[in-house]
Amino acid sequence: MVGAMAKSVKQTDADEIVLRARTEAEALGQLYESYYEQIFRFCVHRLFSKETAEDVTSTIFLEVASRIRSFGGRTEQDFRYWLYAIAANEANAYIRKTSRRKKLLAEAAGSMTDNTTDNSSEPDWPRLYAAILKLKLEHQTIITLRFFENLEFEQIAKILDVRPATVRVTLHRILGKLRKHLQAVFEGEL
Amino acid sequence: MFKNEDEFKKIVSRLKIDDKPNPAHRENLSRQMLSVFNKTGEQPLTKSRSLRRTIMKSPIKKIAVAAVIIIAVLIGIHQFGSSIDGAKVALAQVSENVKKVPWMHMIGSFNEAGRETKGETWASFESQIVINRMADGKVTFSDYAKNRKYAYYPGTDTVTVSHLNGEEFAMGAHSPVGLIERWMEQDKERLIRHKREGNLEIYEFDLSENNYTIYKVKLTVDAQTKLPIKVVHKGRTVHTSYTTDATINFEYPENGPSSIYELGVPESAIVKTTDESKQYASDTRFPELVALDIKLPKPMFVGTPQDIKVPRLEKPLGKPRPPFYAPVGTKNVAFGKPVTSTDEFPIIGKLEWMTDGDKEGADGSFVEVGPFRQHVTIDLEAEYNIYAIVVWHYHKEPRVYFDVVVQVASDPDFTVNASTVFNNDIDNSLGLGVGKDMHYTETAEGKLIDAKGTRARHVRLHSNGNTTYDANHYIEVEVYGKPVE
Repeated sequence: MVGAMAKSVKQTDADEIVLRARTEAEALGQLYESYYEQIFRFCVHRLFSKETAEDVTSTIFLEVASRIRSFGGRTEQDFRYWLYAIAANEANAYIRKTSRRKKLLAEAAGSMTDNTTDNSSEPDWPRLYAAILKLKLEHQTIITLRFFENLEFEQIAKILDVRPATVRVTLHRILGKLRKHLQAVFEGEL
Repeated sequence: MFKNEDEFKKIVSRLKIDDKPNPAHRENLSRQMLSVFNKTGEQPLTKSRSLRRTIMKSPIKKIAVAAVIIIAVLIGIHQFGSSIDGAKVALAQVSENVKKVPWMHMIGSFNEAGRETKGETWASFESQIVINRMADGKVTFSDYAKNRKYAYYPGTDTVTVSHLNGEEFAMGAHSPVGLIERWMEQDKERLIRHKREGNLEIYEFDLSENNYTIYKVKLTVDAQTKLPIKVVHKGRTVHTSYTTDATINFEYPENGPSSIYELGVPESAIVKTTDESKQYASDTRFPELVALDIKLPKPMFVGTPQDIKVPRLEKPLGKPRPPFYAPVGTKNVAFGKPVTSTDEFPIIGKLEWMTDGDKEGADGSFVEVGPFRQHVTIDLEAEYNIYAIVVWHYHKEPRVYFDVVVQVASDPDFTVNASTVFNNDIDNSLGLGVGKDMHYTETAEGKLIDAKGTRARHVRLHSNGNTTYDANHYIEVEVYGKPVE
């Protein structure tokens, strides 16, 4: 998925488009077309519900539109990190509200299939999401960026403004916690 | 179940997730986004641009810029000299020499779009004083050593006295070093020329901003004394006909003004403090202020917390909090006072622990009240002028509490003299109004809230969970005040 990040924008032109997007609507439109799907999918993975993902995707791109003129980056890579940082913050801001978190959890629970059938030791998406939702917000972001967006540690570190080593170590710990949460979800705890 | 990262990756790859976007949403959002973009284009002032506009239109800021160029070198901002051999060293000498003079007096004349005006600034590194006087009679006197600022407004013939809490001496009341840092963020070489003309050294700086303003500053230095003689600003906007010029001459007197009254402020001017309740100033001309003695608990974690991602989160100061000044006799009036809460039966601890003087972060010191929105109220049992409230929610680990709102009032129902002294509920989820204060990370220093001498008996603190989980915690709340006279 990393390779697909810039699929509709030629690498040689991409940096220039980012620079032009500060002042030209057309260039911003090109960036939007390049990144809309990725960001929408990121939001689905963070927020489970497609409806919620649409709302948050809207917030993200409107934020981009209002801030792009003062965006200090020069390359497409800078833009990508910036965009994902906004996306991660907006998704976390949404989940932060307990009531919303409960709503997401309820939606996930409502989508769970009967796990008594075959292959039941492997979680389906609703169960995995319910387990992920039990993690700290920043840990949820790391899981999504690493396993759903397939980003490298260095890329995640750039987005979250931490050191790559921190991401690596934190991820190791998160997986331990996630395993426990998943076990609990399988046992019927939500 | 998975055992390692690779196995987890495989599980994720096999998940069936409906993440196909809706083309209609994509289309609509595209239109909305471009509309927002175009609207921002109609008001192209970003923060730094509006800052530039402020400088271009403010004579005092221009004087500050003149001084700040020197300061910038002093504090080691490399861009000022990195591109020209020898210039950095020479400018550093200028900075060092300025630092040694008892007083620097800068006299400026300005032309803003054809309108002429004058102003002057005195600054002393040694005394940590910056004084500004404008042609219209307005005077500001900032004493960073004593943490006080006096401002005279000729229109109302009023002198206001306020604190400089958190501000540091930086050759200007509004920290122009901050302005320079903004420019530096743009990663541009600012010193464009350095030359010698007889006994003078000339430094030329380009402070222009991309496609918006052309702004050049020329600094003339006495080659013998290495002290600035003159600074000339020339600016114009690219898209309009606005121009601004300024010339600032430097003098180095042995002594500077010791009070605003030496600068033409009439002795008869009315003196007010920033405290609207008027109790603050009492019957003395300027109330005697002392730094509050706030005893801090042992920190439970070391280093600067950096990995909490919360909107509008205050940056850690990276150093101890500056002292907070309040009138002599101010003390913690919450100690031992009764506490009530929306959660009458705390999950952990007792409500009275909040005012027992124990601020340690360890288990057994904090009270955990229920999850989600909760508030606690301290009855001070008498009316006080409250100058500061310090709250320690929990400092065993760095975390951020949400929707922190602190209110004070004269009655327990918060209907008489009720006011909000802190509010970081950015989305009004408590229904008490949208807060303008920032989120902050809990540390052993607690959060100090400036209550500005507000008169009250009851103090209420709201919160709505934290970044770790939904519960609300309090280790200690201190309320610094003086009995109402």
